[in-house]
Amino acid sequence: MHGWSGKILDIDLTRGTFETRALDMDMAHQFLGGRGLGARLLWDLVGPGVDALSPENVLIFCTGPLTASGMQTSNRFSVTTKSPLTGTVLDANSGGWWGMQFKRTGYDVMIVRGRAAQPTYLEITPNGLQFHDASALWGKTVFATTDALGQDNNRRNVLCIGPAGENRVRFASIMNDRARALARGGPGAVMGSKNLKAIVVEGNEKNTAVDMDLYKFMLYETGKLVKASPLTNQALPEFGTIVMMNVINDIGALPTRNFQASQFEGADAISGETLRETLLVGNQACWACPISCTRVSRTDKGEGEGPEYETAWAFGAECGIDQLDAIVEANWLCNDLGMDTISAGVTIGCAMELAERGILDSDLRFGRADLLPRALRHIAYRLDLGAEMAEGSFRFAASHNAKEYSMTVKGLELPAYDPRGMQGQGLLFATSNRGACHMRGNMLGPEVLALPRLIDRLTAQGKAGIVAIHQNSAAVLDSLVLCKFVNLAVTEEYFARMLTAVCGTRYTADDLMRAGERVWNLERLYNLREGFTEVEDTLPRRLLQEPVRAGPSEGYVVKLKPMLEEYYEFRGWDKHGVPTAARLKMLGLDTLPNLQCREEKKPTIARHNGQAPVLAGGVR
Amino acid sequence: MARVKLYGNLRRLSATPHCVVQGATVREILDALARDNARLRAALFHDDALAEHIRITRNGRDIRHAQNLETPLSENDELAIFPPVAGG
Repeated sequence: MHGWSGKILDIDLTRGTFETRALDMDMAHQFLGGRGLGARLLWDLVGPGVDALSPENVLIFCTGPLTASGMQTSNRFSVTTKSPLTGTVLDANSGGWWGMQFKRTGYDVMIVRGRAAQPTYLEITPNGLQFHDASALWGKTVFATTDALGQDNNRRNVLCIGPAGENRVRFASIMNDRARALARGGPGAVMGSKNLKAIVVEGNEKNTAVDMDLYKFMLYETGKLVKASPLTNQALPEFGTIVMMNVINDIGALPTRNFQASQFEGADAISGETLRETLLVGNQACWACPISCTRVSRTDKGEGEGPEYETAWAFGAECGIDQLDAIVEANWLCNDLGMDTISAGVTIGCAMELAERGILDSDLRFGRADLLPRALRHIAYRLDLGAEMAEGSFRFAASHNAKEYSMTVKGLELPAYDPRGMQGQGLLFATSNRGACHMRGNMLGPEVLALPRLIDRLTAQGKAGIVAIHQNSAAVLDSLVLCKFVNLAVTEEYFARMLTAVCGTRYTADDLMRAGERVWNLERLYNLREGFTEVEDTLPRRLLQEPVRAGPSEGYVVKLKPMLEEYYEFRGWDKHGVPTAARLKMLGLDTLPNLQCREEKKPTIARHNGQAPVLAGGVR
Repeated sequence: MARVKLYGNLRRLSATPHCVVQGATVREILDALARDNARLRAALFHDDALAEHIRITRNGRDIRHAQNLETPLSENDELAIFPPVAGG
């Protein structure tokens, strides 16, 4: 294959059947793969109002045209579904080896439909696809399942859920290669609702370049720049992402105790520097990655991967905990149970605040590292208070008439940046299609690290264009599917030339950025069709109305309204945040099935009422 | 005078990664820090200018929003010096 094999593996768990279908290559060229192709397929497959945990929802595993090509970081893949946590379109992507191996089975995409009658796992090998009874595996944790199914990094790769997915915890993750995660938004719960325990892949096909000379040249040039960059050749290998702890704390943007403060007195104790001096025993790389950002840590309870910055924050500053070994072990436990560490930590932090305010009858308190393992187990197994917390912090807090203490956007828990100290990040969180997300265009670069140039993080004016461009760029990487860290060393021009070499069709950086914008707008349409409106483009009340009380960001709230107005305009949307017919035509989205575009003078919006909603400017 | 904190791999280049240093501007502080420490000087400076990717904040605000290396300092100011870092 050269980029795309042109094949979709379509599996019906209800019937226990599968078929190979042709991938629409026009669609593939327009949406690339990964997140983009997943969103396009989801538009067709999961219509408005479908319950995310019903058999009518689907899981769409997508590789990209560069997956398994051998390009730096070409190991990643994505899953797309409707999120049981947010109700939005959801994609999550992961590294490791599984994506590479799945591509080697000769498929670009795997669609999983329906619900198996009993616990099942799938095995795809050169001999074909087999359905297996997973009754003996049901109830096993992620690590035990992975070992039982014969994980061998370069040859046989296991993707599975843990008890959290089986129990449909709304932020359950799908794990691959033991400790890599399709984490956010609850894809593990969808997989659990289908009685699907695991998917094992072994393949032997290759994704080779049409133009080998150009491929080798781009491989060499990219490798040279990755090696030359102090970010990819020194900072990330030596410290991993957890080095951000002191950086973000220093500027007063480290959310602390459920975003009640923006600096944590214990930040240094849970930082990358401290990890390196105490618990770090090595680092690790995904397939075809020269960066090696993964940490390997050891405590007196064992050794394992992690923690990343987000996880160290979620179980650390967010919960008022400064014991690094407890955080490292909580990360392992969360991975083994199969849950998103960010949502888990922020939900626990929410519970801690509710308990301290007397709203919740619980012994959970900020700083109680000893209670983390119990909290995580109770969530995963839906025991006691854990059964409520398993619904995610928004539903949990709302059930106690305290939803203002849930730090979520569109139901997804915020990650490790207090946007009162990073205004552009606030706009990013409010407008991200899957809910509050830092991986859909992180403003960390321009607002903090001066990448490419420093802009004032405390100014709201002028952020809209930068946010939108970063969002489009992230969509490109998520659709190719490549690791965002390679983008620290090389630009979209490099990706375009590598894609040209591999698939034989000429792409430019502009083509890729246009594809990214197309994906962003398609996701927006999906959410609008589900009934989301401008009302949900917002932030928790705390961040809009409670000024930071101390530190470098003292006195600031997020000035969202003017940023949002600017953002809608920059995006070419109407003032209600709905893509206009003209913008959709420019992106080639005007011909989407079940969408009509016509010119009208006044934009109208209506919620879904049994027919395709009118979106705007006559877009129906 | 300022309290100075070195982060990342800069910590290993100084025997006192957290210290109080005399100086009226950021430049004077850095010169004092790097005096008799060639490795730290090489990490902080490229010729006479601040090395690319080195970030310095004064009380949490990047000095590029002030007067860069000529930013004046008050007693009790805190300078944080970061090497190239990245994350997510």
